[in-house]
Amino acid sequence: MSSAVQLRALHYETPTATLAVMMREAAISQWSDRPVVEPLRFELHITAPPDGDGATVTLRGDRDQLLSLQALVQNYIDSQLSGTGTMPRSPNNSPTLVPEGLTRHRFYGGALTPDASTGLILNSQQLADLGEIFDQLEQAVRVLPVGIAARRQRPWRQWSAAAGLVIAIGAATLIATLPTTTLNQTALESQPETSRRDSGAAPDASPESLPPPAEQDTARPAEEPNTVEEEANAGNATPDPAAREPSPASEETESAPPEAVPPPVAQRRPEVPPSAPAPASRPPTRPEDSPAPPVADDDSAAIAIAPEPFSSRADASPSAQAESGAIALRRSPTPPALIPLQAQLTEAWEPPPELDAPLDYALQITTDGTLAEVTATDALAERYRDRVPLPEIGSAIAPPNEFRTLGVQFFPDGQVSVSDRTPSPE
Amino acid sequence: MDSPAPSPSSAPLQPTPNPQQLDSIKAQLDLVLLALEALLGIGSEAMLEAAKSLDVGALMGDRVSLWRLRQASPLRKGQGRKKLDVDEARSLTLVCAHLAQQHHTPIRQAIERLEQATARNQPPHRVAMLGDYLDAFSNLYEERMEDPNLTIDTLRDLAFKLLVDLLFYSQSGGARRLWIALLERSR
Repeated sequence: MSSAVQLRALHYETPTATLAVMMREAAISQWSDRPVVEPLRFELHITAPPDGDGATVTLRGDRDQLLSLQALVQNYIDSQLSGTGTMPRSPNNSPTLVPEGLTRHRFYGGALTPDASTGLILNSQQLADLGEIFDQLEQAVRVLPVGIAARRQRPWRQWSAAAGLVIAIGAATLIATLPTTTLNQTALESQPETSRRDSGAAPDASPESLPPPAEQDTARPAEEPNTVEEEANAGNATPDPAAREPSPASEETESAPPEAVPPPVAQRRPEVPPSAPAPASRPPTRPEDSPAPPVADDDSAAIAIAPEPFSSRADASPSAQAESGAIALRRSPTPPALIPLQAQLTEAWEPPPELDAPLDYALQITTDGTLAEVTATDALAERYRDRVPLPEIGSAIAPPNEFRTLGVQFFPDGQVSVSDRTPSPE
Repeated sequence: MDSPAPSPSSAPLQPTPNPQQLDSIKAQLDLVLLALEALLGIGSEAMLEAAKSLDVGALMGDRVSLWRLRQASPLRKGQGRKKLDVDEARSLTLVCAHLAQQHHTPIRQAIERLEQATARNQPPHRVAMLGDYLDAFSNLYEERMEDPNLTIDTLRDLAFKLLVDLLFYSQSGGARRLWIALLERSR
């Protein structure tokens, strides 16, 4: 996926509460009187009023926690004002408010607070300020009840019908034309998943009717429809191996849900022997490739690092290629002119503990060397856009007239890679 | 801190109550106005000014029409009560929230004192601001309402409950909150 990220940082203050929300603006905002946004993260700081009691606490959380907290506070205030009684305490770990007298309320924060059992005492001013802050938020923006990225998800089964058709056509052609005698077992394993299935399935087999995949197949089920889709998109059902090469700008990458971040490539392929031959380094970009090859999520990384022609990959297992490909990406050379930028980013980059895949961004540079646009190359990078210390738009980050596009990768171990992704002239 | 006044339009106040609910609503609105009078010392002039600024002056253009609206409360002494319609209820709601927002600071101060007194187990009426409020509220209530069985403690609790509610009505979404509370209470 390659979509420009439009983030908004909203900040609200009341005497006893401060709310900061990082939000992603949805494209449908143009049809709304207020910006339509998806909250990404929030930080809510509650302080005790001067000369008053009440908790002082900072709550941090994600979109779901913000929405549930907002609903809790608003519903609780309304129930208190209307005298409809207390809300039952949620049996799960969700936040709850319980009245304690006329002016005190006990807040059980669930996962938001370190000690969920005892709760925090909020006084009326703090509660009113919380309500005020959420009112301000509601008046300023319209919050999407679902995640933007989640709505882009396309379950692979959606493609199963088309995939089955293409498999059937491709299998028939492949079996008829492919010189199977040149394929040893290793080469067979390195084929795309569809090719392997084709060889053993009837031409009219649908994905559901296919036999269970082999043991190693279970490691990458998500790639199956992707590869087939690539073939379908190319409109090429011939057995030309090169035509089956997945493109970095794959549909799978675009549709990958940010919540389902797969494990790193090296973890996903534990069967790779340490002595596996190192594959060639990152191959040159093909004309149809995107100038910003995605590396941030596992699927895209696996696709990006194995673009060699089918025949040349016959001796190397795909897992070995994936592992060493990741290493190659990590060690992509930084042009000398960009070393200060890399050092600056490395110093500022604090990887979130839960991050387990690199974040990849394409930076568009103007002729005078200032940053014009930041594009997250996949869903994961978009999700963490506000967490990476990228320079602000308009700041000078490169020498004039030297780069048009830079690639910046933030790795979970704290490393940062900066590379030149300026498209080479045709 | 004085918050901006709500929109003069009454359109955002949804849903619409049924006639049975209105009976309860007009009693509650009158009590909210009574609490505002007791705490802030404001009178009908301030309410008429608020109505004018909210563009609902046609429904309460002078003291008599305002008095007739408030007299619609079933808690009031007297006979021949006027029926309150939905537009009038909305207008009074907007006026209540507007006045509360105009006087957000003293309302907040009163709540702060009430919290402090409560935290220290101190009788709230011994705090000057709260004592004055209680006295004024009790006097106004006894003067205007007919409820011989209401005890001092009940009256005190009612006064403080209304005071705390005013804090929420004095914020930016106050009119909406008051309208929802009116509807919920009248069910």
